[in-house]
Amino acid sequence: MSAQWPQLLYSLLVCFGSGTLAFLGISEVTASAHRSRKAVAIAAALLLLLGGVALVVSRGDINAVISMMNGATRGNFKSLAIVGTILSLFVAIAYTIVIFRADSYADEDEDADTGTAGKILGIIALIFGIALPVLMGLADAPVRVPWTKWAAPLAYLGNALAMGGTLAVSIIALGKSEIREFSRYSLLALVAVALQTAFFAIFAGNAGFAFDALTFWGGVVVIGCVIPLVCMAMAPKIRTLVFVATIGTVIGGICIRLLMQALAAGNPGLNLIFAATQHASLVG
Amino acid sequence: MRNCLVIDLDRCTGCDSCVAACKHENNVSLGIYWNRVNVVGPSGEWPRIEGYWLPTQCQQCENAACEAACPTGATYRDEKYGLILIDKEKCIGCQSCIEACPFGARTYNEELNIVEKCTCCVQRLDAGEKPACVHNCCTGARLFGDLDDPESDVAKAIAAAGEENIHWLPDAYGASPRTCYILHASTATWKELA
Repeated sequence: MSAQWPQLLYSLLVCFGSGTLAFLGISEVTASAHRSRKAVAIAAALLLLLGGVALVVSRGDINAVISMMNGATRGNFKSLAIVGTILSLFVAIAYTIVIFRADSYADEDEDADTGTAGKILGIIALIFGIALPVLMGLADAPVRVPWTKWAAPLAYLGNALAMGGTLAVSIIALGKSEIREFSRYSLLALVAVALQTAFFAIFAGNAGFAFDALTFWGGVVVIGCVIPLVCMAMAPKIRTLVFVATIGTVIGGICIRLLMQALAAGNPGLNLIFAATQHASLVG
Repeated sequence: MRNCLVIDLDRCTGCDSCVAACKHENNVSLGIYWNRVNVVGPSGEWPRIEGYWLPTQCQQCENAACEAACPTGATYRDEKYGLILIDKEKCIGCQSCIEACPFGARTYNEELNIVEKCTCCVQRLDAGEKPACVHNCCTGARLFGDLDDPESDVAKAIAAAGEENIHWLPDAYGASPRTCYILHASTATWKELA
């Protein structure tokens, strides 16, 4: 089976957006990186919106997406992930509106105060930012590969935090006004990338490392984990490396999802036997 | 009510009448099969060679993974017959059920963008008839009925065959398939295909 790109992009963009949302929540809860929050909030909202577009493209029809939410009350993870995406998008948009309003009341050299509304939305953003990749992992985990039920949500969570964290640091780096925050968030993003590496290792270990070599060793290990780890470790000295780290984690995210799709497409033993032994039919 | 197919492999000759009947009755598109007849074997050493035909279709699982995987509720357990069916109006062709089915019993109809599978010819059941594959089986190998009704054809066949001669497809994920196969060791040894 060839890669299902719209489906893959939906999962990737939503996890990217939710990871960014989680870092937005961290900045609000810890009252740090004030000046980069607006851009981070816009980035999170855009990524979640693009993820939604990819979902509609993958299903080919908005009505199909609406139908897919029917299973939410039955606890269907695909349905819950869509509901979670919509709610997260609302949170990101609401926070963007709050911070724009706060900005309009603040003086030019003063940090905008988002108040109680900002704090509450920040906490919700943090919770959704962590919960949504877990839901997405549960939705993408192939039913016939039982260990993916817990390993996929971990891998997706690690990847979401790594992508979101490195993007947040990139935005802070572009702002150039928060040098102290840059060091602090670089360290946080480094922890996120390390977490991603550990969760990817657990995932690969369970699969017995039986993956397409180029996708796994090249895409996931080298580009997705090793390069971002090195870049984030060196980022306090060479700032531009955070952009390389962001691109690396995104490529790692694409590759881990390709491997997930390959696992899902893998025929169960029974089908393989049937395919090999199917009696030549006289009809159709 | 636990309606399902029971297939007597001692009688099955692999003639494919069930496959033809299914396609004819349900207007199944070219290249798509709701049921198939598979060959198991030959195995053993000369002169003790054995083999059997293994017809497969939706196994009407008790814990149907397809039903849980369907995000739209298109796959459901029908109340009238207790069968797992697909509501074509609700199916969006996402193929989550195909991915979930441990028996490869479902097929994607690209033309209609829906997933299809054996319905046990529910339209014939409504008319008081047996599924087309059961009706057209030349050797009477295919039976349909309620496992909970001791007077049904399937319950009687299972009781007559004896516990040691009743088999199920491998159930690696706890799906508990209802469809069972009757195969006596005198015909061939049941092969666990997992």
